[in-house]
Amino acid sequence: MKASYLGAMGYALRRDFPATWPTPPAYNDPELSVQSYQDGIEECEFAEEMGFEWISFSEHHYSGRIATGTPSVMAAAVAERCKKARMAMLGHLLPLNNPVRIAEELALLDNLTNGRLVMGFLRGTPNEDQVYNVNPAEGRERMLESMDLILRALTEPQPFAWEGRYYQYRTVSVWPRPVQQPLPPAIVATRSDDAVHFAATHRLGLGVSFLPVEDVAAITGKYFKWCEEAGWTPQPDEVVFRGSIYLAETDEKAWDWFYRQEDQGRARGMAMRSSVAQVIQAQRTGQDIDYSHVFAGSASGDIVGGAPGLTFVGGPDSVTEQIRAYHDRCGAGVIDLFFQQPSLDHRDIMAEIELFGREVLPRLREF
Amino acid sequence: MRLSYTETGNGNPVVLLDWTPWQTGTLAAALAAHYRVISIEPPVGDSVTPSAQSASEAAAAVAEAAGLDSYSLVGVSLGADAAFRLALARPEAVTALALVSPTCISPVVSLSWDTPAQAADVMLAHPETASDKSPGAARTSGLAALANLWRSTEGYAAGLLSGLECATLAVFGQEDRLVSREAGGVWKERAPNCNVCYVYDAGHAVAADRPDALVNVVLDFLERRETFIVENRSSLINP
Repeated sequence: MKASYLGAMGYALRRDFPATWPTPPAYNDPELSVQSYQDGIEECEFAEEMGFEWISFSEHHYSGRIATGTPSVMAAAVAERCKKARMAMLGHLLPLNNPVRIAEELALLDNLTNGRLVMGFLRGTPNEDQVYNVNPAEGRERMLESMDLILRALTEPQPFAWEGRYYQYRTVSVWPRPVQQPLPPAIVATRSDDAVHFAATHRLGLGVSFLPVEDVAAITGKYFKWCEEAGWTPQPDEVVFRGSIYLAETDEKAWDWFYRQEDQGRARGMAMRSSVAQVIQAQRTGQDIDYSHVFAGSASGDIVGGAPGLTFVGGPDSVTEQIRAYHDRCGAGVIDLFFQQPSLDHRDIMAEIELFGREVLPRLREF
Repeated sequence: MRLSYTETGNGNPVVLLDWTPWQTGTLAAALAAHYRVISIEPPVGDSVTPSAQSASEAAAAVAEAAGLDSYSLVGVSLGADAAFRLALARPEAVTALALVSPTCISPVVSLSWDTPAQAADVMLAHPETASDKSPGAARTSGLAALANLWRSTEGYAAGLLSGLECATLAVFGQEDRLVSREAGGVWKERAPNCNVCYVYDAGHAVAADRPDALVNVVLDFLERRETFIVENRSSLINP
C-alpha cells in the first residue's frame, strides 16, 4: 500500500476562522499567508523525504482550511521541490470549470513533472456550487460530460469540435500532449453510482473519501463488479481512499488531544446558512422547492458537504490497523491523508509526518 | 439504379442522403425550415446491392434532374459515404459537405444486426430508450441491404481524402460503435478543409440520440461554412 500526503496548504491561523463558509478574506494577513504556503510546501517536501509516494492537491474554494482554489498552480510549485513523488490532483472540481482548461493544465503538469501526474475528477461539496454559479441540479451531468471531454481532449491527435449538453467548443487542440501515453493515471473521486460506473467502464481508478470502512467497501464492491463486467481488473494504485488523521506516539496521547478538540469546539466542520444548504441539497436531488418558506434565519447551519470527522486516530499500531481495514475490506491501494487539523501548527504536523514515516509507512508497504 | 426523392422547403438547395438504418427525419425537417431540400432515399430493395460509388453517381443524377447546378450536400451514415464520393466527383457542384457518421474511414466491420432491437444496440448510445425512437417499418426492412452496402465500402477512401476540396464537416457520435475512435482524426488530418465534431452522448445514429445538437451544428455549418468555428453569440448578461 502507498501513502499520499494531502497538501492542504492551510492558513496558519485557521483555528481562528468562523465556523461558516466562505471564510471572509479579511481573515487573511498577506505576510502570514505567504509563510503558510511556505510551511505547506515544506511539509510536502518532508513527506516525500519520509517516504510518501504521492503528494495530493484538492480544489477547494473560499477557505483557508484547504487553501488551494487553483490546485494546478500549487502542484506546479510543489513539483519544483518534490522530484520523486507523484503529483496527484485529487482533484479538480469538474462542474465548476472549463474542461478544456482543465485538460490543458493536466497536460502541462504532466510535462512539468516529467510524467508524475495523477489526474483526479470530482464534483465537489455542495458549497462549491456557489463559487462559479453552477446550478446544483446540473452538477452531476456536467461532471460526466466534462470527464468525457477531458479524456477526448487529452488523447485526440487532431483539432476537433465538441457539441455537448453543457459544453460547446468548435476548436479543441490541447498542447502539450501528456508525457504519460496514452493517458496519465486518472481517479474518479465519487460516492455516486453513475460516476463509479463511469470509472469502471472507462477503465479509470476510483477515489472515495471520509466515509466509514463499511460504506467505502459497499462503493468499491460495486466498482470492482462493474470493472469485471467491463473486462478489466484495477491495479492497487487505482483505488484511493482519503481520510483525516491525527497520529501521536500512543493511543492515549492521541485520544487526549481528540477530546480536547471536542471540548473546545474545534471538531466541527464548516457550515453554511441552513436555508442555502437546504436549497442546494434540494436542487442536487431534484426536489421541488417552495421559496415562500425560505427566510433569513441563523447564519450557522448545516455542515458543508458532510465535513469529515477524523478517520484515523491513535498511536502507530492503531492507525496502521485502521488503515489496513481500508486496504483489506475496500481494496484501497493508496491512502491519501489529511494531516492539517485546524488546531495543529506547522511544527506539530512536521512531527506527525516524521512519526508516520518512521512507524506507520514501512508497515503499510507490507500490505 | 433508380433512386426516389422528395423535395421540401424553400431557399438555397441542399441535397440530403440520410441513409442510416436509424433515420428519424429530424434532420430533413430542420433543413427544410431553411433550405430547399432534395432528400434522396437510400438504395434499398433493388435486386442488385449497389456500391457506394454507384449510389453516389445515381444521387448526382437526381440532383441534376432536379435542376441543381450547385448545392450543399449532407450525407448520413452510408449516405455520407456516397456523399463523399459525390463531392469528389463533382467539386464544381458541391459547395459545402456535411457528413454525419461517415463509415468509409476505419469502419468496425465486426458489428452486424438482423433485427431492429439488435440495430438499436449497435446504433444508439442509449438503446434502452429505443422504443421511443424506433425507425419506420420500411427503413427497418432495408437493414440487410444496407448492411451489405456497408461491407462493400469498408477499407477504402483514406487515400482519397486529400482530394476533397470543399468546406467539409464530419460529425461523429462520441459513442459511435460503427467506426473506430481514430476515424475523426484521419478525416481532420487528411482532408484539407475538414472540421471534425464529436457529439456528446450520441451513438452512430446521432439524430436519434441528440437531435437538437446535430441540427445545431449542421445548420450552423451550412450557414457559415468553415467560419462556423467563430463564436457569434453574445455573452453580454446585463446591457
